[in-house]
Amino acid sequence: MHTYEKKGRYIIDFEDIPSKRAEMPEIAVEDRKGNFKEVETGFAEDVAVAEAKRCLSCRRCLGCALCWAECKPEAVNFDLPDKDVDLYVDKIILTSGMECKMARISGNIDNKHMNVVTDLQVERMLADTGPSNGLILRPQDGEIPRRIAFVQTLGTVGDKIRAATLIFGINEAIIARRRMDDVEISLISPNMEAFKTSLETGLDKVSGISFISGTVSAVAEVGDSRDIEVTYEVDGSEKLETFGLVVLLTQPQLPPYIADAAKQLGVEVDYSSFLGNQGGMVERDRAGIMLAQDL
Amino acid sequence: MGGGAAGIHAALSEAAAGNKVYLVEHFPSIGGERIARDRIIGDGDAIYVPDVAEVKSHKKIEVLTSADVGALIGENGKYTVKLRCRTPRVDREKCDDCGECIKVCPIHMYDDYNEGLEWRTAIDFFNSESGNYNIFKEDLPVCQQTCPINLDIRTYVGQIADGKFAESLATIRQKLPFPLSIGRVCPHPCEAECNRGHKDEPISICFLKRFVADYEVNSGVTPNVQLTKVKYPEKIAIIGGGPSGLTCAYHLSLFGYENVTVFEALPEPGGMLRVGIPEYRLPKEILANDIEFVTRHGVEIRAGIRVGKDISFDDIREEYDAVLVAIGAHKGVGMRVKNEDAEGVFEGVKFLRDVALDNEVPNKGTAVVVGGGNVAMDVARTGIRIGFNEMNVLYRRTRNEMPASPWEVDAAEREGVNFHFLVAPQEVIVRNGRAVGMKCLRVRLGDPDASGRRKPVPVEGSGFVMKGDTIFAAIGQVTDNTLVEEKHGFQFGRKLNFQVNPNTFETDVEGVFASGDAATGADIAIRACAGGKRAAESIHQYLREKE
Amino acid sequence: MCTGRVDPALVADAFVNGADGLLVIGCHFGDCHYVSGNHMAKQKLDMTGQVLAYAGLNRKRLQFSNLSSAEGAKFAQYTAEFVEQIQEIGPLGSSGDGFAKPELTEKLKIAHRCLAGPKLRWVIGKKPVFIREGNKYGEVYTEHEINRTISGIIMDEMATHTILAALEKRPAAVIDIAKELEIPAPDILKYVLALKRRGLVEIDQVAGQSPIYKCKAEEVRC
Repeated sequence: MHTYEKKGRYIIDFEDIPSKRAEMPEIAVEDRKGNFKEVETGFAEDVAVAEAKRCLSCRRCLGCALCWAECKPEAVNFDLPDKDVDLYVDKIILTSGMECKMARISGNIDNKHMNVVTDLQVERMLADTGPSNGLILRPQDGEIPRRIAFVQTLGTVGDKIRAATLIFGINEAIIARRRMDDVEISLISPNMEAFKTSLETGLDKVSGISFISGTVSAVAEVGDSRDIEVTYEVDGSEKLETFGLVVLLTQPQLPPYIADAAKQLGVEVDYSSFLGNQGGMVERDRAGIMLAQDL
Repeated sequence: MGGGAAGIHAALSEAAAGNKVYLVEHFPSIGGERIARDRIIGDGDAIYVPDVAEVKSHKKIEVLTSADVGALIGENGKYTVKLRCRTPRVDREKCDDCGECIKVCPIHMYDDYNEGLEWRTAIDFFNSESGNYNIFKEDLPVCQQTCPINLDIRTYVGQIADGKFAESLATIRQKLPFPLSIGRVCPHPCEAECNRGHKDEPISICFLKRFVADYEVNSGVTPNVQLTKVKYPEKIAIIGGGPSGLTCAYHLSLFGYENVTVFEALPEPGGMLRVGIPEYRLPKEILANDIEFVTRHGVEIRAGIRVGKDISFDDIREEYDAVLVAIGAHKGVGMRVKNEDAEGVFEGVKFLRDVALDNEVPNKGTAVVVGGGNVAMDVARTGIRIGFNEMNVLYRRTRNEMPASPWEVDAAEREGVNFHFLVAPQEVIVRNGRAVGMKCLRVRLGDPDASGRRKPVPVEGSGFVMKGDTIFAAIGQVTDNTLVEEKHGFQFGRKLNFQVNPNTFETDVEGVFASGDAATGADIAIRACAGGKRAAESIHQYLREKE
Repeated sequence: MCTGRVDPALVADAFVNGADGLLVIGCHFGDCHYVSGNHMAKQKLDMTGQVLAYAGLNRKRLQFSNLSSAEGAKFAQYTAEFVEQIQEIGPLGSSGDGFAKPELTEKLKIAHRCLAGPKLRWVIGKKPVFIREGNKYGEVYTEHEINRTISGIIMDEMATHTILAALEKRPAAVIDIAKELEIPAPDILKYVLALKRRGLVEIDQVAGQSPIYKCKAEEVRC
């Protein structure tokens, strides 16, 4: 999972947002020839204080201890230390963790479009312990979208990873259709035909999902509903289609802590090493090192 | 390792086989429903829900959350796993999952477990199913974390907002003795990360530092020097009186070392702040104020003494208990073009040094500056000031790829510097033994190279000559490491920099440390200061352990 | 009563019940029998004023002054001046306030709920401690920082209680609440989900494309 708290900080919309930062005063360009006078002349006191007051004083836990005061079983303990633990083991089982790499998509700079989400976010929405009772909701207005596009825009990745990505999207689409029967779903990916033939079984059972062999070139927000207009190329011609929600299929990869552990153990793994033998165990050439396969 | 669905499944089957299992998870809680990636699900198949409750109650399974793996050692089925489990600040033995704490917690933040789709509170169960309550406390605010020397920005900016300028400056000086200088020259990586930048514009952190430092000077206050009562007698030599060396000296004196001597090869201390950064960006009397603050802590600076020439490195090692090499990177890198040693061709850094030390420099006619970094901008803007008619900067990529700070490029342009992008120098044209111009080729940007930057590709038949009586090469600097010899046993990097342990700044030679540009290659001043501070801590530790 | 014991909710109560102005008079700073009661009063009333202003109240309607019990003449003077000031502003819901009367009272009720809850009262009580000694982690706050923090909590609390109050009236979809309260829908969604996470709100049913949220149970406390 992403550490959202680090990447997309939640910031309250304070009343002084937006406001411009203070500008540094400078001496005129004409006054700079033939001398080495300092160009920037510094903030005046009132400017500096006003600028300093713009600081949002970012902090998460305030250390106010209200939770501690409210906790009847007295479980909150601010002095509880970090714990160093040494384990002596005969076997180390690695798992694939859950981390994804997002492919860039033109028109969605800094992932600003609210109604473009990732497949991992959809997985959470569909989950029972997720935020929305198993429903897919548009982050922009909380509505259930009528039309959803799953979009695969990964660049060069191995076939196995590409297939895993698409299968993941299809499975999400299947579950979404079970939960919300009138939702229309499109799945857009280059080389869709090749992927479909590579699958031995399964696709014939899938209903209500249109598979489009196309390359998505851009997404844009349209109208007050902030629906997402997807531009894609299919059979050499460009097509425009509007969806209530666009799901970006992400490239699964090993999180740093798993990758680093594998490196320390001297085993070469990537995400695809964890795919294939559903819920089983794969033994590596080093004794006692196992890979627990994805379920 | 990994407390997701697969990890839980594996833990349960190992435990069922009678094995003791440790389930190690990086995040505060195990669990999480998974949708298959290896097969299209059929009718009976749905989201896989791991049995968290079973794991939690299983006697054979011990769950370790918020765990960072330090080391994995061993082979052949015998392994040691060293973990550090970050504290949840909630005693899970006592917690009864009543949820009262999350009702009262006043802080909202994005919820990692649900991929940022909703908010959690600062104290929170993370995964409702496992009920592993934890308090999220960031280690450092993002600005402070980004600052190489970890200045407590949130506090010193807040103190300015409160009108407590002296306190603010004292906060800065706990770590950094150069607020006047760094407040002027720092390219402030902190501001690029400032959270306010996501909403409108980042806080002007760097100039606020300058403001409090200027405020002290303008009010004629001499800052207090507070030294510890603990004193240490060891003698420490610091070679190089630049930002790194002086910051190290400052922190050593704060630790209580009374015999810290700084050797500076140039007639005046300050290093690149004195002879690299031009005066229009950092006036020398301003820098002198910062340096005086360091010397008032009892640091002795011996300027005009070049180690390796005026005093040998061996003598230094003989006389001092610890040595820091912080000699910077003052040697220009050649352009590797034909005739680059012709008369009229200069190293950019040497030119800046000569200007700063009032030595004679060329100052007439047309000049060509090769390079796109801040040194190139300093050379060009200095050239405009000292009398050149025309300064032409050649850079082989576009403005967007320039390593120079964008505001420096803008300022240079406003002051009349000409920029020529997508131009690669080929050969210095020489007439009567003197440079008269630079033969160049136009290039275009091709595919990205190993560093991810797009590689310039020559455009055939696009050759042309850029006239210029003076040519400055400003394409990088390396360390002049001739103060030591091979017998000393140092290792050097690509920039002729001293190889050090990146955490302790120790070199391969016992008792000798290196920091700043001399260890990292040319970099920004605040990082040199940060290295100096870190080196001081290492020297302190080294000397105390030796005792 | 020591002004330090003037409960923020009590202040809000006065305005909810139609008071046009409220003057709180405490001892002179430095003369507090309980050392810091009047300082605490100032902090609390500043915060209360901020919350009420956020709800649309003209800030001039709430004032804190200092007097000793021996200054009868001054008391009369302060009171007369304050009455004059209120008369100038006019009755509650005049142009100096953010809203006209029935709406303003509704907002003030929400402010009352925020002020009666534990969060703001607790944190404002911590303000002097945070500035002097630091928080539970020993981190000392600047005045600016604690003020920022408190205004953040006020905004969060006001939004939370506004939405909760709307849902108490009737179950609704995110888009409907957004339209009614004129708060951006993405924010409403985040707050509703946060309330759901705290067990105060649940999904009632799904109507067409809209999940309908409703308040859960009577015990609402946040």
